[in-house]
Amino acid sequence: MSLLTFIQNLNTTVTEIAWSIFVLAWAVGWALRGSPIPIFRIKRGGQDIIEDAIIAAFFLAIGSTIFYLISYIASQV
Amino acid sequence: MWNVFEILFYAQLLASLSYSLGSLFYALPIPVYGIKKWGPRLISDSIYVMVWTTIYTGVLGFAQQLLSLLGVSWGSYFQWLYQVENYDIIQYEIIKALLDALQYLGGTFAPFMLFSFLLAVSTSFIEFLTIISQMIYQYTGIFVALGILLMSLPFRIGRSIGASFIAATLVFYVGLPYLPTFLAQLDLNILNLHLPPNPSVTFILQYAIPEIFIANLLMPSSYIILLSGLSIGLGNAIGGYGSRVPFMVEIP
Repeated sequence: MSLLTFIQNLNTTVTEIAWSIFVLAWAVGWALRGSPIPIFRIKRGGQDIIEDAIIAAFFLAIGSTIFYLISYIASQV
Repeated sequence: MWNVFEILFYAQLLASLSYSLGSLFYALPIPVYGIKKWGPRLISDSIYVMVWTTIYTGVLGFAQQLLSLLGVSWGSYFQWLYQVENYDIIQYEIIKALLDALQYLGGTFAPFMLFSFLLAVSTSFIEFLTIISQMIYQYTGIFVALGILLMSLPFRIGRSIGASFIAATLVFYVGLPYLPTFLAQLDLNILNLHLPPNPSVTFILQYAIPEIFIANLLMPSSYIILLSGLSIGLGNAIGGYGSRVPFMVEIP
């Protein structure tokens, strides 16, 4: 396995993990936010986690598209 | 030798890796600032490295533009170096001959011995300078690309070293050929010093040798120290704290 494929595989793995962590954070965030615990800080923390997860998903979607495009073009040239 | 664009391709791959790592850290449902702060940091770092890989040829072209703006070139610089080296060796031989003659005459030759030693040191210094210059001249592109590759490692492992790689290469690439002009402006260009055909001992002791010493050893080394200071400053500007991306990545 060359260094190139190693980094590419690592990249794919990390992206997959990031997507699953996004789903996890989404679930955890909504669970915290919707939990019947009358402590405002916990609910607020849940909302923060949801917001971060949404931003992370945005970055992931944009970034993986652009980087895939770049590596595709670079491999074609 | 490595292909420059292969290095840049690896830098790009590592940048994409650190980007996905950054978004992974962004999404982590652990509300600890020490971990969460790596999210936007890694993302902006990767964008910064992408900007560097994109402007790579532009940076090299800019350095060449600066060179021609200063009115100097590497060819004339190398020519100057070889001439100075030649001159030094000739002076060394003259002093050596004088030393031998004085040995037979029985005069005081201690200062001559000291100065011939100084001349030998300055000759080797100029040779060292030639080697360094050739290294920088031949491997400018490789060094800058390696600096970008080091900067692209995730978690800022090689960020400062990569930035100083880039900065030192650029500063020395532009600055070194200016050395002859710098010395000429200080009226210390060694090639303008002409020895009379029959130099007297006092002339050599009081004028020629100090001049050679200052113009060969003192001023070039202080010029190199000056360039190193500049490259440290540029390195801090390139790889200091926080990546300087022209737009905000961090969304509050």
